[in-house]
Amino acid sequence: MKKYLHYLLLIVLAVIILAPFLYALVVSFESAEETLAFPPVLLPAHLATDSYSKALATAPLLSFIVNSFVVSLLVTAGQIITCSLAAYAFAFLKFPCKKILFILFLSTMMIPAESIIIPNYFTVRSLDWLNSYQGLSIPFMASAFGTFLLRQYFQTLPKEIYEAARMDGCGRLRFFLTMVLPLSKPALATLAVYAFLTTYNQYMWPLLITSSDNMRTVQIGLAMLQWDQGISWNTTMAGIVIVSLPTILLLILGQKQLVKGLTAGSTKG
Amino acid sequence: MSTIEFKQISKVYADHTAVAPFDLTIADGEFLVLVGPSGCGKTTTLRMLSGLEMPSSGQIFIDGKEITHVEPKDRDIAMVFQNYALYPHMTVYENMAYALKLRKVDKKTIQTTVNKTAAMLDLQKLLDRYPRQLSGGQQQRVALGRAIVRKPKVFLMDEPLSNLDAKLRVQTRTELIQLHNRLNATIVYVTHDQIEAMTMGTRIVLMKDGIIQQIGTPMELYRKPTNRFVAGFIGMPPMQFLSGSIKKEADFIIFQGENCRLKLRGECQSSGDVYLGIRPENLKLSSKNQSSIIKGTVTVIENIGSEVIVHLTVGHEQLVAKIPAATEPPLQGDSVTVLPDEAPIHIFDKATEKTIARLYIAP
Ligand SMILES: Nc1ncnc2c1ncn2[C@@H]1O[C@H](COP(=O)(O)OP(=O)(O)O)[C@@H](O)[C@H]1O
Ligand SMILES: [Mg+2]
Repeated sequence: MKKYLHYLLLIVLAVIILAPFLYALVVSFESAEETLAFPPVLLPAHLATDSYSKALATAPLLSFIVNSFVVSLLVTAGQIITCSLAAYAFAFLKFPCKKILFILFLSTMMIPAESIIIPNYFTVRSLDWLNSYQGLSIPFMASAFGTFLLRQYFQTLPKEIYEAARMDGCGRLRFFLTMVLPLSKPALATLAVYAFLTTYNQYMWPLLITSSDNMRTVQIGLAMLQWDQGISWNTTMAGIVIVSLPTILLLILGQKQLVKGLTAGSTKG
Repeated sequence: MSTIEFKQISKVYADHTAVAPFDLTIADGEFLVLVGPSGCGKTTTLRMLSGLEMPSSGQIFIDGKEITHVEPKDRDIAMVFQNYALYPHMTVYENMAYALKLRKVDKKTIQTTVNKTAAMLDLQKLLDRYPRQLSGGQQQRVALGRAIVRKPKVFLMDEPLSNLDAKLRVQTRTELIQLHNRLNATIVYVTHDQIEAMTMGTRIVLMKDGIIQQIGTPMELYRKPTNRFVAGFIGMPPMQFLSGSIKKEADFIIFQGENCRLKLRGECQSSGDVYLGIRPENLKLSSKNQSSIIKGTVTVIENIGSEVIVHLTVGHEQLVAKIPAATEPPLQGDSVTVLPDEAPIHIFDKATEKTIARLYIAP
């Protein structure tokens, strides 16, 4: 009985979470009349795909997706590299003022992104990075959150492994590459997915520093669909579905690794 | 050949001294055991030798060469950790081959060395397994194997048996002794277990609160403890103490305590308040001697088959006697008299707790 209640609750939650996306999916296949009808049509009479072609015609969504992918991959790679290196130092090395530096590091998480967006803009402009991949990606290649996440994970690795490796003749860099990274796959995967999705969903920053269509990213493309006068509601929804598909695929592919990451250590090795 | 020399080595953390300055020379091929209660500084001493911890003062030499500030990997030392510290993502073979691989030893040599060591430790069938697929005893052997393949000058072991169950611990103890004989290596071994120290060590260093209490062979520590702490630490059950006073009477020395009077012979210059120490195995149930007597009441009888351990109250003090099982044991509540046999009786100064004399029961 308890089990049924459990599942009932899960189903209700799943429906609530999925409803907006399912609605977008349904609307994207409706004709314009069906979308405006009241009461709303829950299943379209036949699959109309012209909203998809209209969406693709209004905004160069595919090239936006490519841009977003390039930027997100760059940021993800950058964060994995810088965060794991910084976390390694905070977790394994001994150096003066380590605690204070780490707290300082963490405290940057409390600075609202909006308050530094203008200074960052001026920096990027003075470097002549407007409308470029480096302008879109480099400012996000380090992350206090990512460093914190990895440091916490690194600290769960037994200190004796580090010492044993040191006695075996393993240097710091080699220990990092051949021991810490392979042993931290779940945490690295979590950070990768998190970094990718946050960058993919960025809106303000790309809007601010890109002005040409060939550098814009997907979220801006969506906004273009939303505000364009001649565009109907179902075209916007078609755009949303196109833009979400890559991330949904990524989530499905990475799910196993992610779940592993979140439950790591819960079973005895 | 590898001798180790500590010169005035100490370790101070913040404001407390983990290890007080000490001198110690370890000869080639010795099985030296650092023993003492938890927190006495054994691990710290071992880690200073390994190079994982820097001493606050002093120098360390291996084979006459100073290595106080040399990197751990350049000391030619291998360590077996209490939790084994095997590399979780490497197979048993890779774990054992790792140090050799880093030294750029050629593949063929690595293979023969690892296989030979695996055979010695009965690990051949496990070479492809990961550490998590091994039992505690097997992991322990892999940790040993990882140290052995390196053919180091010195083996360091920090409580390597403490994660094993009692039976396996006894078995591995014997194996370690055989291994030491076979490898002819210098081993520095840390334990809090005096039985491990007594059975395995060629020499024992007994520590307490960061201070070395005594250095000597197991039998030296057993027979001639330098103070009350050493006397009470070595032996199972440990040495028993009665407080009282001694005074000279003609050619003899009389110990007088509560419900206890012993006529002793031997050399003793001092008199006054002392602790008298007797090992349980040197006490026997008897009332034959007219001039000496210890009167007690039996509180607990523990029969372990080969012998019987009798717990007594003597006045306000506790006393334990270990008697052969062949003797008819007394019953709980019985009043009994016990006497020391011909083994030495230790006299400790009451204030300093240092040994001041070893005396014998007078006929
Ligand atoms: N990194 C450290 N910082 C401060 N105190 C320490 C540190 N390591 C050990 N100690 C202290 O030094 C003393 C000796 O520790 P240790 O050598 O580990 O003892 P043992 O191995 O004999 O149990 C203990 O009191 C312990 O609390
Ligand atoms: Mg210890």
